Amino acid sequence: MSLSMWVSVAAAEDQAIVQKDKAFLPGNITLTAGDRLVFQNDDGVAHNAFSSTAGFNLQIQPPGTSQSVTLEKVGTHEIRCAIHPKMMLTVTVLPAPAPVSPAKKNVSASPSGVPK
Amino acid sequence: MRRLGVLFAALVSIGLLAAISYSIVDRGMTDSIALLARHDAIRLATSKTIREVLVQDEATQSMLLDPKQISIVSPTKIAAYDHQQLLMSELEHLSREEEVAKLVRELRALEQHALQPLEEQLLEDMASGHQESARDDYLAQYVPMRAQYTQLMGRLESAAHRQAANGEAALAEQTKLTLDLLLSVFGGIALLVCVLYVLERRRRFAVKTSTRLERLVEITSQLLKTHSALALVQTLRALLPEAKTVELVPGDAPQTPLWGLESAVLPLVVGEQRVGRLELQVRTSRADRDFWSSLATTVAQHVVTIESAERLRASESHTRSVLESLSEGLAVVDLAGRTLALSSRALTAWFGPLPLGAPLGSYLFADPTQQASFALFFDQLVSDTLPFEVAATQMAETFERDGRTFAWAFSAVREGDALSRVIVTIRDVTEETKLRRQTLEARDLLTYLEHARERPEEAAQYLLETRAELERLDDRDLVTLRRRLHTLKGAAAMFEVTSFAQALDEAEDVVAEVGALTAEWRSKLHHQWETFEAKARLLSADQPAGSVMVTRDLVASCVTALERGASADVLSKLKASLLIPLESRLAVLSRQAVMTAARLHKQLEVDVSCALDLRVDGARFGPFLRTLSHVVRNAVDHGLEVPDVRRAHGKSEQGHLALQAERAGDALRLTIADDGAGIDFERVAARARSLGLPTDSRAQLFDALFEDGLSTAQVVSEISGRGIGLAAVKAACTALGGTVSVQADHGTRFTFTIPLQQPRLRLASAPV
Repeated sequence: MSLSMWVSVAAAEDQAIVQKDKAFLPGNITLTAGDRLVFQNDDGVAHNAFSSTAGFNLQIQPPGTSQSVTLEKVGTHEIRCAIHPKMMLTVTVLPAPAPVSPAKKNVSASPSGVPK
Repeated sequence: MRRLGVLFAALVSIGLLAAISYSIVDRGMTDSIALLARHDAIRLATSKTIREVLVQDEATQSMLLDPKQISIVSPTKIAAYDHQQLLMSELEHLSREEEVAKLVRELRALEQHALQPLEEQLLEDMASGHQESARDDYLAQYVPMRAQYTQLMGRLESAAHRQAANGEAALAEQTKLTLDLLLSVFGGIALLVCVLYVLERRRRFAVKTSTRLERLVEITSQLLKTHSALALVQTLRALLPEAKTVELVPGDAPQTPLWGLESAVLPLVVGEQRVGRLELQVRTSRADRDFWSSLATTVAQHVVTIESAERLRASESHTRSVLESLSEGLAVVDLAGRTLALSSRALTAWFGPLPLGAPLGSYLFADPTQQASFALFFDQLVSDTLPFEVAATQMAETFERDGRTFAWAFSAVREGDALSRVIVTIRDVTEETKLRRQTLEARDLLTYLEHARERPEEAAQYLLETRAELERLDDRDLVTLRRRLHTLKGAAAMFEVTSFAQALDEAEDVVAEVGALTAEWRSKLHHQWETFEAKARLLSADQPAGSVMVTRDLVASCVTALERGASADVLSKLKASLLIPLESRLAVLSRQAVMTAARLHKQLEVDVSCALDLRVDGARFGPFLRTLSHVVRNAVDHGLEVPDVRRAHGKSEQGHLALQAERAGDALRLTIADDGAGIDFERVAARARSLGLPTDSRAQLFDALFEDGLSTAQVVSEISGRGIGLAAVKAACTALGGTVSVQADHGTRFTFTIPLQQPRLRLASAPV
């Protein structure tokens, strides 16, 4: 996690997601691998965000807090709230641009099993 | 082709019907299956939903116990939630029955508006740090609500189960219905096919048998032509034991053949008229491939038998009609003399109905003697001791019955060489005989008159002598009786009174057989003679008995001689006129010989040698001269051979008979000589021995020749052969003081030497 966080820092952008009225806003978002998703809980109740496919769980997020996660895995991912099953965010992760590929290749080689 | 069309149409109809029925049933079944499937799906979805609810519940419990568990149970919980939602949608989709749909709506409402918000509240509380209260609420609110939910789910499941059971029942019902339908459809098709098959089989059978039936009809029609319909029915019944009915159906009753029976209807035609019909029904079960042909063969054979019998009958009837139209009687007898089937109507008319198998003799004759004599004759006829044709001549040509005269003839029927039957042909010759007798009598009268004109004295003498002889016919002395009869016969032959000669011959037969002249025959002879004599006397009335006819020349010459005073001449002329010229007598004998020869189909030349002036005393020589006819007849009958035999012996076919009269001193020498076969001395010896006569020398044999009853002839005939003739001749010759000698070297020569003048001694003694 730390490694990927590091890599994403290098060329990352932040994408903000607001949790409000028991819903993710916006409900759909597209980003590039390495981009960071930032969840801002603007609701009156605690929330949660996790994705089985993207491989993260942000635990309980009390109202007024924000948390972030960097998405490396290319593909379409569903992000849900364990407390409110109806809440759903669809994230499409696009591949990163070519110039970063040597570093990325170098970095991603050894710690591939780490997130697990 | 039409049948194929019908078959096709029937199959198409059945197919259409089946398709429609099937589509109806199929829809029902499809519905049932769908219902069943739906409720199975509902049940499945229900149980799955409960499971997903429990999974979520477990995740919730985990989080309520330890909030950090959120990172672990989140995916499971959300996946279960999503799946639950899907299942609920599915349940909504599946629920069409009101009961189920209502339950699903209740569940949905409970889940969305109570259970889910409560759970979210609990987790929010937990996330806000109020774990204790959250757990309390969980137990107090959530668990009962969830129990309510699962209870609802249970109800849904059982409802679904019920529905499924209904569906199953419906399906089972429909399946049964379908099966029934299919069964009935296939059953119908099978039945149709069977019916068509049977119909077709029957049609083919009918076609196959129709020709045979036609044949049968044809054959039977033939039978009908020759048989009565009733006889035919009986015949067919015997021929067709398997025929159910062989009935005569009068008129044209409608034909109603029963199922399983082949029937033939035959028109019954008698002559040209249709009188009814014959119905013949035969079980088809027996009507296999060969049945009709064998039947036809049987009937045909029967027809052939009947036809041949019929032909035989026809030919018999033809024969019978011929027999019936015959005026002759015809009887066929077997070798035992018994009558066989064929006889002619004429026989029935004469002798009554012919009893089959009876002896012909007892049929023809009423008299047992005649029957016995016929039986004897017939035995000889059919035995091979004599050739049939020869044996057949042993019987008299005619016989009498009930005052009628019948002539008969016998012919042999041979099979191969063996005699098998005898055909007896019988002719009624009564009229013919009568006519012939009348003709004969008329001719006899004429010839007699001829003789009487030539030799009136002799003729008159013959009439007197015959009458006297007839009067003297008695049975006291059989030998004399036979001699008298024989002499009478000879005299009759001399004067060619043939009919009387025949009657005498028959009388001789009777005497030979019976040993006496019956009164019947005696009167018959008398009657016949008197008839003849009366006519003869009537016609020669100007020549009374005892008169002498003299010519005018003789009277004139006597007158001249007396005028001249030559009384001696007159005396001699008158004396001479009392004598009869021998030459004329020999001429008569000569004529008689030629006639006899002609009757025996022999050729004969007669030489008569006699001086014209050789005359004898008619009264004295008459009896002797009359007996000479015996000698002449013997010569022609026995001595003279038939032309074939003569030729075989190197002789001329024509035989010769010499009649010679000459004066030898005071005696007359008369010779009768033939060039025939001579005398069979062996036979004479044998016959003589049988009569107890001496046979040691030729002289004794010659003497035997002149004995009564000795005849070497095999056949007694009107002409000769009774062994009486020569005895009579010798007796007459001796009575005149003459002698007789016989020579038998080449042919036979009789020489009679008789004194011309009566011996003085007897003349002198006579007046005394």
